[in-house]
Amino acid sequence: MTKRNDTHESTEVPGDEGNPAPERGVNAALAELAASVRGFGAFQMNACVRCGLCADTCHIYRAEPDVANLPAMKASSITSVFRRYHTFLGKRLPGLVGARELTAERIDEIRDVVYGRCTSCGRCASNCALGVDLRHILQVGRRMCAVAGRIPEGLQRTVDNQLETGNQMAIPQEEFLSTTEWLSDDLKLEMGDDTLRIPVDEKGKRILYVINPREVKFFPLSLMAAAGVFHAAGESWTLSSKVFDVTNYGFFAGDEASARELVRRVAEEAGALGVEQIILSECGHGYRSFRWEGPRWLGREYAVPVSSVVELLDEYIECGRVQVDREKNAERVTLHDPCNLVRLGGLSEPQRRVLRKVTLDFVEMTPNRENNFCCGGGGGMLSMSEYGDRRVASGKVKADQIRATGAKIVATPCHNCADQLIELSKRYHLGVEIQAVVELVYNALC
Amino acid sequence: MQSVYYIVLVPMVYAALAVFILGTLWHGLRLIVGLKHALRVVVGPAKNPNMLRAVCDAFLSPATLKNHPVRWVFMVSFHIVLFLTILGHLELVGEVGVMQVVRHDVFLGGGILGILLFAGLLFFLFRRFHAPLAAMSEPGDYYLLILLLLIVLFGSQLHLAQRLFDYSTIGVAEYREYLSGILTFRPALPEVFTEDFVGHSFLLVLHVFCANLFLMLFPWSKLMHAILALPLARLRRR
Repeated sequence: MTKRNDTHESTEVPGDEGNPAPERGVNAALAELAASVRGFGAFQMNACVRCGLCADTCHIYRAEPDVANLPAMKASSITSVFRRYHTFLGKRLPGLVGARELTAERIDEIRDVVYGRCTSCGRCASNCALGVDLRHILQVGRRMCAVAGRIPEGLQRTVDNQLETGNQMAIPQEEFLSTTEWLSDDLKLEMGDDTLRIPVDEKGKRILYVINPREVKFFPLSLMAAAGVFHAAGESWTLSSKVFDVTNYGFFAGDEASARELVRRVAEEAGALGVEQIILSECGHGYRSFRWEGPRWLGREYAVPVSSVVELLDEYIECGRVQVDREKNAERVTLHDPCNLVRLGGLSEPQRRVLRKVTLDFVEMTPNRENNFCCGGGGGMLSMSEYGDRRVASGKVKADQIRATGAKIVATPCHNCADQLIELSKRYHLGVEIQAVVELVYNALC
Repeated sequence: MQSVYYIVLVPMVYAALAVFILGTLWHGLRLIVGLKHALRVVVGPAKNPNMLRAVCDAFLSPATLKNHPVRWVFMVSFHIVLFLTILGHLELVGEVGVMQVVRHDVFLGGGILGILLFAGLLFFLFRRFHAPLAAMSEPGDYYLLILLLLIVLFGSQLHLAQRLFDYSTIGVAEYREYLSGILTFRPALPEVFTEDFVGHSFLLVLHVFCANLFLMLFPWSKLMHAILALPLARLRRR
């Protein structure tokens, strides 16, 4: 367990100073719970009737039908503590209503549930008969663990990387610059244009393109494809060599202070570069956290509009700014909907319009859009090796969905999902190739 | 014994109603104040009109219909029967002309509602003894269902005893005298309620006692889902 970064807000609560660490953690977690259930949060906590209808809405429960994986049961690890400290019957007759004291051991149980048995995909919430947002309740659990200093080590390390180096993979600025340089060289050859280059730190451009660092490290073709499409569209754009990370592991960790800081840096960089718009690369949680949660964390709207690159691609094709030939993507393509982009981000159609225009044989998974299943790699799962087996096991639902389509290519506008899907393809022998939407657009350029 | 009957049928009824109303209002106020702190909950592409969708979500639960059609039929039927049973009690307060559009004897349903409700509650109760619900159920879940079963059992017996076995002298006129007295704050117990302490009047006291407990527990238990379902659905559609 690593120590929380110095930039985090203090987890101390009044009267805590002399207590040993576990008690401090418990008190901090209780203070966080009290703050989180202010207002409507309390209603979320009170409304679940434990009907169990959420069971098979969860990909983790479907893959491993253990009661511990049942969404209402997972939420109960937090609501039972809520009842003990914040309800009339829970305070007086805890045994009757299943109200439980919060102890250091229970925080560890909560940690296993909220990080290891839930990807915060929100499918249980959107299918709940009563509209209870179980995902929100489990997110409160993550916040409690965060203030108690019980974020899983791998996830905490990623947050620390982001805060200390500016990106989750701790890529040095020199490496970033050299990668963009050789990508520029490759792109010149591919597109036959010697003037082509990937712009970095250029002021006064229309767009600041913020990417997932995995594009620099593992998926450079994705960044190259985006650069190629921007070039074809005659776009005025730039990357930032200092603040280029769209991901937000503070959001995954439940550490809102870090999440806010990461969002603030991108918003400020956009101001410093004087761009007119921020375009977020294909990243589900990056889109959700920056576009929707960011303004709430910062307490203000951004100075410039924010969109996903799939919206921009849709616009390019609709307006004829890029010409595409769908024959160039002749193999059957299906689409995986990242939960944070679609169900929790509200963006489901642009990527479909784009794929219909750039592929010859596009088929939908069943179910799809906001009812799609999580791939199993969400919620920061990929950074927590201790839950690796559960992550891959829970991906069986997604693997079955993919296999049923008969597709050869799975497009997904999220690099986290791409990582998980690549692993699922190997583990479940799917024999599919995983591509970003922008890669298919680039491949279809005339 | 007469004073016990009186306490259950009059002061305890007022206490239960007060706890129910004030407790629910208190939650309602917290809800209105809390809305200001409500997080934006996005669960999919915006769907308008939001309020209409929220009403549909809360009362028809389309997600359950899609995922569990058989359970949906059962769940919706149970709630319709429950609603009709509550509605039926209005005719024990006074004549409700609108309800007599389809002519029927009081109580509504001729005993069928109580039997259906009892069967539904038994299903909900026994379901909780099986996996996976058994592991996630709290003692209170069972007690609430048992309390509801008792209310329905005694209530049904009140009706069926009179209807099928000519068991008592307590009829619609007596209920109306009692309940309208309660509602107009001029409580009066008809003589037949207290002239003997066995049989029909005893069932009535048991029915009212359990109902009082139910009303007092309502604002502090998961029964609040009846009130919270619509605002939660509305929040989900924001």
